[in-house]
Amino acid sequence: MSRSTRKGRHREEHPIVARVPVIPMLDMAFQLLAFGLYCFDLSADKIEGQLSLSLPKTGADGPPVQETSITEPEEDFTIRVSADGAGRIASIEMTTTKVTTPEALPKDIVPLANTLKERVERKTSLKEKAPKLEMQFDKKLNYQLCFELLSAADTAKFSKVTPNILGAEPKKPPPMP
Amino acid sequence: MSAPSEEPEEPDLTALLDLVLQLVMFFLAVARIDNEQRDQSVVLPQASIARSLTKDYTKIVIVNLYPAPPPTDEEKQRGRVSEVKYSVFEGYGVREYNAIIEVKTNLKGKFDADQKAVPKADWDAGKGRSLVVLRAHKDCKFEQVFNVMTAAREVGFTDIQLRAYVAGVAPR
Repeated sequence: MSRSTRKGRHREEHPIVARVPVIPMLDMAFQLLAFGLYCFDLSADKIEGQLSLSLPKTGADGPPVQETSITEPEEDFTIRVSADGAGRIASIEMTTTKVTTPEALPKDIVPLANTLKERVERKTSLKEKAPKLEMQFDKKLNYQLCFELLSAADTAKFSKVTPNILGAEPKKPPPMP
Repeated sequence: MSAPSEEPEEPDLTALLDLVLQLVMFFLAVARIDNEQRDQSVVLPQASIARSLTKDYTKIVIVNLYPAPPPTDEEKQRGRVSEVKYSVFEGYGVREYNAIIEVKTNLKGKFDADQKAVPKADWDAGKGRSLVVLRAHKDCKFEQVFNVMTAAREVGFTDIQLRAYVAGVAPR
């Protein structure tokens, strides 16, 4: 008997079964899953930053709380930012409850942040409480600039930063009957 | 007596593979939902110095503020042309508004619901309040942002959180 005839009979007895290679496919699926989880993390945590502020008081807040202590009032800061017609910064001035003469501040963010930080550190080095800051913005001012100024103030570590509109005085509560 | 099979026994991995692919689809869908919760119309300001997000709150109300698209002919005829639009995310739903008074009404409802949900002693101690997160478009004017702040304050909220893109991280 020839060799080729013997081989053909062997095939008839043990037919070849075609199989899909599932295990490498499964490995790849797990790799895809890991890749997807890693790359498609669209949570806001990585791309967004936050800035926490206190809201300005309104007339609905009721009468102001009377200070009962006889300690000297704290020196709080007010920064007024005026804008030109295009919504850019025209000037930045600062006053305090003790120094009412406006002091011009730098318009650039980094020098401004450094100036404010120095002021707060000067207070805290004297073991005084960190002052509060109210930032009054022109209503036309671009929000991008507002945010940069507020974040500069935030890094200076004021005890409280409150945004307000330029020229707006806190609404006085209605007189008590 | 039958001879033992020479073929090796293999587990059926097809069902497992199906499950894995289902998981892939699930996570992709969930990531998409998370993305939709942030309004794509809002391009936040870029902040060179901004703190990364913290999770020190339990309930948040996200208010998005962005310039309104050009008005349609129907809106022009009705005279309903607003410079900005608002959207408020609450749970898995979103509501869009054209006027600040509508946003204020929504916030008032949220504030009242918070108040009812906690005991009075806790509420008086400042607990149980939602955090108002304001995501305003970078091209808005401060006046428009301030209107939302005033509305939140008049409703009763005392604090607010502003959002910005962290410098160096490009938004998708």
